[in-house]
Amino acid sequence: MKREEFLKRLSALLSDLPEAERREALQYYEDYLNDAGVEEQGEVLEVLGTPEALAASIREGLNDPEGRKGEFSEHGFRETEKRAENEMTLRSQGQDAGKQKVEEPAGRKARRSGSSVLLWVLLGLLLLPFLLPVVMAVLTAGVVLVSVAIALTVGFLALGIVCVVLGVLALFSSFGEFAVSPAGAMVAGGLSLMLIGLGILLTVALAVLTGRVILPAFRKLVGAAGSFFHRGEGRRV
Amino acid sequence: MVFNTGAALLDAIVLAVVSREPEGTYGYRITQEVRQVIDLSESTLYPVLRRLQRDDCLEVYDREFGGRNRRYYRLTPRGDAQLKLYRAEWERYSEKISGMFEGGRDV
Repeated sequence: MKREEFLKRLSALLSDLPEAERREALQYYEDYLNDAGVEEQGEVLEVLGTPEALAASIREGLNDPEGRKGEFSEHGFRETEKRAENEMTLRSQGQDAGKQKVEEPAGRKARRSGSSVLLWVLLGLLLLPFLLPVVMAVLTAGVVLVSVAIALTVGFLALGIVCVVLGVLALFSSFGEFAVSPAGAMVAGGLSLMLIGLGILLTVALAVLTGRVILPAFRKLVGAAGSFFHRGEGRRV
Repeated sequence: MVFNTGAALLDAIVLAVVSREPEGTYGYRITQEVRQVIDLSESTLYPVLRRLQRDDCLEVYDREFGGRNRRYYRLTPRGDAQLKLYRAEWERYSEKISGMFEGGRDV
C-alpha cells in the first residue's frame, strides 16, 4: 500500500475520534514515515503493518488511559487482564512524589494505622454483646471437634495395638492346640496372623493420617488464628 | 528476549530515552532507541507516548526540520520526577533479583 493511500485510509478509520486525537495520531505517523525514509510512492505496510491494525492500537491506547492492561514481549503487545499490583503501587507512589514530596511516608503510615486500630477497638466494644455468644459457640464447637478427633485417633491407635497383642497371644495358644487338632490350630493360627496384620494396618494408617492430614490441618488452623490476631503487624511487607 | 516488559518498565525506558536529549527528540528516533533494548513493533510506541503526554510526563512542540515541521517530545518536571522514581525502584528491584541469582549473598 502506498503512503498516501495508507494515510487516507488511516484517517478514515479514525474519523469517529475527537478531531484533535485524530490529527495528533496522523501527524505522528506522517512524521514517522518521513523519518523512516518512506517516500510518497514508498511501501508503508512493511513498516507499520495494516492501517486497520494501526488504528486499533491507537484506539486501544485511548480506551485504556492507564495503559496497564498489556505486556510487551518479543511477540509484541499482549493483552493481559490482571494488572501487576506493584505496577499500580509504583504508579500511585509516582503521582504522590509529583505532588507532595515533603510529606514523610513513614509517619503518615504510622498515624493511619494508629487511628484504624482505635476504630477497630471501638467497633469491637460496640459489637461485644452480639459477638460474644457467637465466639463462644465457635470456640465450643472447635474444642468439641478437636476432642473428638483426638479421642478417635487415640481409640483407633489403641484398637490397632490391642489387635496386634491379641493376635500374637492367639498365635501362641494355637501352637499349643497343634497336638490336639492340627487343622483347628492352623485355622486359629491363620486367623491370629490376620488379626496381627489388621492391627499393624490400623496403626500405620493412623500414623500416616496423623502426619499427613491432622497435623498440617492443625498447623494451618493455628497459623490462620495467629495471622488473624497479628494482622496489623503483618501488613508491612 | 525471554523476559517480558511490563507497561511500567516500558514507560520508564521511554522516559529515560527522551531524558537523554534536553532539547527533546522525535517519535522515529525514540522508537529506534527503545528497539535497541527491547523488541517491539514500530507502531507500539505512539499510544505510550500519547499517554505519557496526557499524564503530563511529556510535552510536545514542533520544530522545523528539512522544510517541514517535526514533532518533538521532551520531559516535563513531572516526567522527570516519575523517571527518578522508576530509576530508584529499578535499582532496588534489579539488585534483589541479581542477589537472588548470585545466591548466598545478602540483599
